[in-house]
Amino acid sequence: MKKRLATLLLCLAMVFTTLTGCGSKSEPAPSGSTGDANANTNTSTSEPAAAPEATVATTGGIIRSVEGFAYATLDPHKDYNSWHSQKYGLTESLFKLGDDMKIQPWLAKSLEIKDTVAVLTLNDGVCFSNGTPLTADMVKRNLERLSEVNKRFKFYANFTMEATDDKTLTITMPEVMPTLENEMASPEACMLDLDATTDIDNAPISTGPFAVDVFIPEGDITLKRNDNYWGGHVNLDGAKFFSMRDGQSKLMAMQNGEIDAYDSLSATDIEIFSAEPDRYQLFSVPSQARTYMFLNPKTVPESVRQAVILTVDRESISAFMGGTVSPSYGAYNESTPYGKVQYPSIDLAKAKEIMEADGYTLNSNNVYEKNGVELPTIGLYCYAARSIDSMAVLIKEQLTNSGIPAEIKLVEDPDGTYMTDKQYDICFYRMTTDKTGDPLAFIDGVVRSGSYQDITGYGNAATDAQIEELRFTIDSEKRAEIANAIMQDYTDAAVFCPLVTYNRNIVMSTGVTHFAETNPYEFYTLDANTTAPSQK
Amino acid sequence: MKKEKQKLSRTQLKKLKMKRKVIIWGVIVSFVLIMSFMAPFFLPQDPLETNALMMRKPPSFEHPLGTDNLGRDVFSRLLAGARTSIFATIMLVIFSFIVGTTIGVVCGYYGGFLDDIVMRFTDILLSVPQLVLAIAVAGMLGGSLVNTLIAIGITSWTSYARLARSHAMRIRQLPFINACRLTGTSDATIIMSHVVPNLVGPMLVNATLEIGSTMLNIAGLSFLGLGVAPPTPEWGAMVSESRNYLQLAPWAVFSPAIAILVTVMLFNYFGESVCDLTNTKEA
Amino acid sequence: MLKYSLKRIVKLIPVLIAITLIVFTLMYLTPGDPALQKLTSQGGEVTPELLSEVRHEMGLDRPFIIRYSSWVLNVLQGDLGNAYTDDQPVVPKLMKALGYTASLAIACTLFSVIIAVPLGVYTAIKKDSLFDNIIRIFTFTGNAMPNFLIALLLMFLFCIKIRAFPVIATASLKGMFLPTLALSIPMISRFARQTRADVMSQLSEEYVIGMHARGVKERVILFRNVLHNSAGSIITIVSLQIRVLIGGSVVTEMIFRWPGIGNLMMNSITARDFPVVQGAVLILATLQILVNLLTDLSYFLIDKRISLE
Repeated sequence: MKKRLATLLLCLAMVFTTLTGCGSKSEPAPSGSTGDANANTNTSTSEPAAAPEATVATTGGIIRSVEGFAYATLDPHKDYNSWHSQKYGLTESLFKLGDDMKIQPWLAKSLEIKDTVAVLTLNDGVCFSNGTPLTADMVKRNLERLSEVNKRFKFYANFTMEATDDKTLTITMPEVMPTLENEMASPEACMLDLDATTDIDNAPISTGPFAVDVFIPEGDITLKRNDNYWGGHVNLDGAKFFSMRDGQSKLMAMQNGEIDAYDSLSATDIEIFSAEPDRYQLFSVPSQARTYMFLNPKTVPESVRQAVILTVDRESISAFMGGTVSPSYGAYNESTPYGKVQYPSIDLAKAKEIMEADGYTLNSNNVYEKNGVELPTIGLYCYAARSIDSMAVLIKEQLTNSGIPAEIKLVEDPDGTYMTDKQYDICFYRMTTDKTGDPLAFIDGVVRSGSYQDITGYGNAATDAQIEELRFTIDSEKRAEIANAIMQDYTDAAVFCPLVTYNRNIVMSTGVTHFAETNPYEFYTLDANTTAPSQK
Repeated sequence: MKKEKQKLSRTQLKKLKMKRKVIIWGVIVSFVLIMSFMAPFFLPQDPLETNALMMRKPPSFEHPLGTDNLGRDVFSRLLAGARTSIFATIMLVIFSFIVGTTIGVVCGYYGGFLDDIVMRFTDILLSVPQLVLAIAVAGMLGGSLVNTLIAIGITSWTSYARLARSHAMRIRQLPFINACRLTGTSDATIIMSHVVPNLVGPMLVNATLEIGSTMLNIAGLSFLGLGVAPPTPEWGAMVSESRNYLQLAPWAVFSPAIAILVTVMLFNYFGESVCDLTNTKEA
Repeated sequence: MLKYSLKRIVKLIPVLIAITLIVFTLMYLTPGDPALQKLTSQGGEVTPELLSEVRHEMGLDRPFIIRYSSWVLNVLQGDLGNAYTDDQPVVPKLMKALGYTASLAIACTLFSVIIAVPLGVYTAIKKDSLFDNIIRIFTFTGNAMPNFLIALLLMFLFCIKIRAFPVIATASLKGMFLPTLALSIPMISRFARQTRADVMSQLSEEYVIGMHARGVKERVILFRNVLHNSAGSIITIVSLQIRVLIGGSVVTEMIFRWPGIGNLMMNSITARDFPVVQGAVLILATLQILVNLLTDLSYFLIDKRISLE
């Protein structure tokens, strides 16, 4: 008896020692800095110390990083495999998207579009890793193959393509397609040596600065330098990407020095790495991935929807997320010409005004009521990925404090539930809203009637007509004008509310450079100039 | 003669000791139960209130167990979660006990084809991984505590049923049951007034022994994200929510985990003392 | 013996059929459209036309009974279909994962038995000694520990505080150590307690007292008779623990990123990759049934007195 009580006491003692032990060890993280997103971006200025070493390190070496997805084949034309192969510097697309999200030449020098005819000119000296030059005819065959194996690029099959000479491809389209250049900047528009490649799943021969050394399906990939690289000398001897999905393992592997760099950091990672600026360089670039809410007009009255949009405190949410996200006030970046429609930030007084104008009053429980009936509880439908559940917790609290009762409904998978059965009051969704520097993709996939994300039932004939106009307009100023008009109407309907933009956070050991650390797109990582970490 | 008396008093002494043990553990367990039900009324802080300035703070006077990822007080969440975690466990044990015993008694008493079918059915249930069942249930009915309980409940009654069945089969063959039958007593009366009273004791002992493992089961599933909807505090879910911050806020991970450990140990001690007592009674 | 085994195996067939039905129905009823999942998994846009095309390609638009029967027919030919996510055959995936899980389960069972049985026997002989009491505290605590607590605690200590183990070492022996230890702690606790209780009850049996009286050496009694007689219940608990190991190591596999079947199943469930989930469940269920069968047969081998009803 006494022994058992003693056991229990022992356990309680263990509880205490564990907790206090942990507490004292992790103390060097005092007040303030936790939620400050600026502190993280600033750490990149600590680079000068590493700069001299970087010049020394240009003598080769290898870089080790991680790959978060498991996939069974490298075939870059299929699915999204090219997003990975391009990261590794294995494949390159016809055009690339710069740090400013503008299209730059890559394999192709230029694309001139005149009505339904486009002329693609290849860059000089482009060749595959086996030394064979890339010809316009090979580009044609690659695009044809892409249209066959990838549903998202079926439109290439409708084109008539003709190689005028080795470097020129003339494309005739059935109708005007203003976004062709953007499509060609997609990683899928990469080129393989279809004649020499024998094992397209495991060892495709392509144009990038690196070539496959060993690829384990759903596992690690080892790359070696492409000595025939058309873009000049490749700095690194090779690279290795370990297959690792779990965020904690990435963090620990980096702390243990088992890897040299990785992206998509969590708030924990940022906090830990920013404490050691002499070991790690941190970079943060806003990406184009956003999380937004849909507000169901069938179950939530308009005044309440408007009040919800005015009550959401994006700054506070970002502070909790510790540098992984920034507030988002529109579907597109406000610096883009088509991103002029931005939402107001939090305005509780105005929210109250709107509610009161609609006949709601706050009762003694601090809940809005109308004609003696309390506002029914609003269901916040969300899923547990990318901190979306934490955002929902914060929004629930913000709404409840302002008299709008809310409860969280956590589902396994948004696509199997509220995105298809449309049973929700308010729901959350995450998407890269601007993949190619053009407004059409988002509007076409969210605002158009009958589109997959038109779950609010907003879509209407007038807007659809505007979207069709946008689809065939070439002039970029005119495109921006139409897009802004569409988004203004969409905003006024109060069925959509952008919340946060994800930041692309990258950590690199000192000495590592050119890890695409300033590019907002996740499908760029290695290039010919990437350097290995400085030796310690 | 004298020797025999001494021996008797020794077993009596032993029995007394065991009884005292049961009472003491019973008192402790009831205390924990009462505490967990009262706790939500005595919370030092709002367990749901987030605070961006107080995220992942180590234990201090103000926050005895620190704060979690959203700046919420871990101690208050722990107390508020006690009711959810413990209440859910007890409910599930009671449910499995009633359903399992009923099915087991009926099968054991009547035997035959029905018995065969039910026993094969339990075989099947026990061979499908519980996780898959739980996820299918959560997927179909939505993720919530009740649905997690249903998911575990689907399989948990089977062990009670098997035990009740074996007891019922044994009791059925006792001579006095035969006598009852001969006098024309109905099956229902025999089951209710003879079979059930004779097996309810060992079944209850089994139930108290099962409380601990049931709690671990619930915690495991809610750790995998199949339990309560956030922000409701629940121990397994609390661990899972703070797992990614293990390096920065270990207190937020280990406090609820250790709370589960201590509670399970308490219930196990209680269950064992009850079991010991009944074993000496039989002997 | 042979006849008994055959009878048992024949009885398993309806159970297996029922399991395939249950597995398939569960997946069928679970909401979530794999076609959608496939299209949205990495941020693509979805159009209704694209969706219906993919659904057709994946055979999701066929009626339940046709999907089920074609699945079963394929299963009988050893073909579990292709995974939705990457269109690769399921069987090699499962076999690879099963290999990892099996090596973990075997290592864990061996480790636990080697530690727990001597511990149990010794504490039974030295009942109520200081050593017995210390061990009892440990086994009682180990028995009540949630598996995630053990795993997280080991990870916190060995990977974060001491950094004794490399993170990228999954398949190596070194990488296997922590998950094995995490799974073994509750198993050792249960085995040791069970062994102690069994040996103690055997020691108080009359035949042991009689042998003592006849002057047979303690060691001989222990190894020839007591352990032999306790073997049955040790096997029962080991087989029960194997059930825990194959089904319940999900949490441990997840925390230590062990690429076993639990991890595979969890990932496939999140991705709504039904062929993989169905395959995994089918294999786990079959294994479970086989373990039960082997357990029953091993009773027979150890103690011929058990009647073979």
